[in-house]
Amino acid sequence: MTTRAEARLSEALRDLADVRPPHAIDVVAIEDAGRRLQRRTMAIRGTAGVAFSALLVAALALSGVINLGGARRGTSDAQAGAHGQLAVLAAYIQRHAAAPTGDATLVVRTQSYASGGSNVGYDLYADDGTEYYGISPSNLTQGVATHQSEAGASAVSREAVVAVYALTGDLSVARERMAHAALQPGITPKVIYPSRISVTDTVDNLIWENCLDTLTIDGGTAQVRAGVLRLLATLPEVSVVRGSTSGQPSLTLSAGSAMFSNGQMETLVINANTGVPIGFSGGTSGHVPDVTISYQVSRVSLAQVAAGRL
Amino acid sequence: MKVSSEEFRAFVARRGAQLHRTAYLLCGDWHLANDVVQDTLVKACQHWKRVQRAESPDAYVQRILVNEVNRTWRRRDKVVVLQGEVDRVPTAPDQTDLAIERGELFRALESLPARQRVTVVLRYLEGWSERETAGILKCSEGTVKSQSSRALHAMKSILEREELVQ
Repeated sequence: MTTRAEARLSEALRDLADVRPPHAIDVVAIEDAGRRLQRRTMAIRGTAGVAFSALLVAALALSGVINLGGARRGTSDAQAGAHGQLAVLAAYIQRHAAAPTGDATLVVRTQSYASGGSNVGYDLYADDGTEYYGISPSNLTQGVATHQSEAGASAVSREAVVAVYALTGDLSVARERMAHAALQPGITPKVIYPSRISVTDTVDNLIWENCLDTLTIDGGTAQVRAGVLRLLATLPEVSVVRGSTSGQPSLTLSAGSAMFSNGQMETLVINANTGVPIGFSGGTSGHVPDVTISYQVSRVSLAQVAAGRL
Repeated sequence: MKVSSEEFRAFVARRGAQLHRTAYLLCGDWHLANDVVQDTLVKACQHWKRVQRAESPDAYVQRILVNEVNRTWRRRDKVVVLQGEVDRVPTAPDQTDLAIERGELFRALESLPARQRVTVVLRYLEGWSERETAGILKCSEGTVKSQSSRALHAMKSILEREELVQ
């Protein structure tokens, strides 16, 4: 039953949203872009997909799966500086990736907020591009068992394609592609960027954000992780500190005022041996983070999840 | 897989404005809302058959929009919401007895945690039921109820306007 307060809130929100003329939608441009994406998806699933999938699913290695225990990155690497560490780790992951297990990557995401709340999300990224989300293991199981994949999920992440390209392609080209990978093909960017940030810094900002998304979404794929780290190594605004997090050797990557114009601070923690994301925090510099996220990334099979075995 | 232009265009004509006002209240920026709606409809077009097969195509596309907004929030530092955007919202004399300052309401809405804001907009702007909202947000009806309740409480404490939330 709708209370009087709810009815009045509805009225106030409609009043707030209706103060401007209706938005004019260019449906022709939208259809063009939609069809281009369809063709691209079909092409990837067809011929090119074979080669790409081989790259994407090859050499999946996660903590505990890949044996890097005996790895020694010498002191010369440490002396190479923060970004050298990322580049070296990228090369290491690329070379030592082990055979993948399962057919999907499960990311258990625990988010805590400065306000005191917290929630856990279960993201499942299948190798065929399908994505599932659940608020609990049983909710995720139900979604997978009934094929209720996430709406709007791309068959193949454009960012992941760019990350793989960064391993062998021209790094400056890869940077440019990653900066704009999130835009739909055929759509002109209309985002307004901070005027006092240089063009280079803006590109770096886009690369940082897109790399973080890619590492989270495609974090189960070693080649993608390696490519992302190679791109992150090009960002001079990012500091890298080696340490230990939850018993794991870790690298903490931080981006602050040099990257953001509004006093924001973001920190990404990755496993120092595998590049798998461990945690993230974001907020205003000098304050308690608005949000802190811990990640548990593992390889699973869809059948296993559908059967409720998480 | 060829998109049925006629059906897709009819959908856009029927739902476009509603999607935009939802995006506007979620993003807090008119122009950014344009981009979000554009990206949402491109994905809807790309997966149009899947949209048509859905139990509720409207809810399916609403879900895409919420995902796009979430994606935008994760990148919000790239966006400068024009200062004074809210203040420039027309403030012509209101014809209703709802004496709510729009800017104040906007700020109250913006101050809500993301999940509560989405819940409020879906429930009270778009009129989705608790069950439908739960379906769109992939959560339980209980979660929708608790998020709505918290949001109402928060807006009451922020606005301190007894005539809006009592």
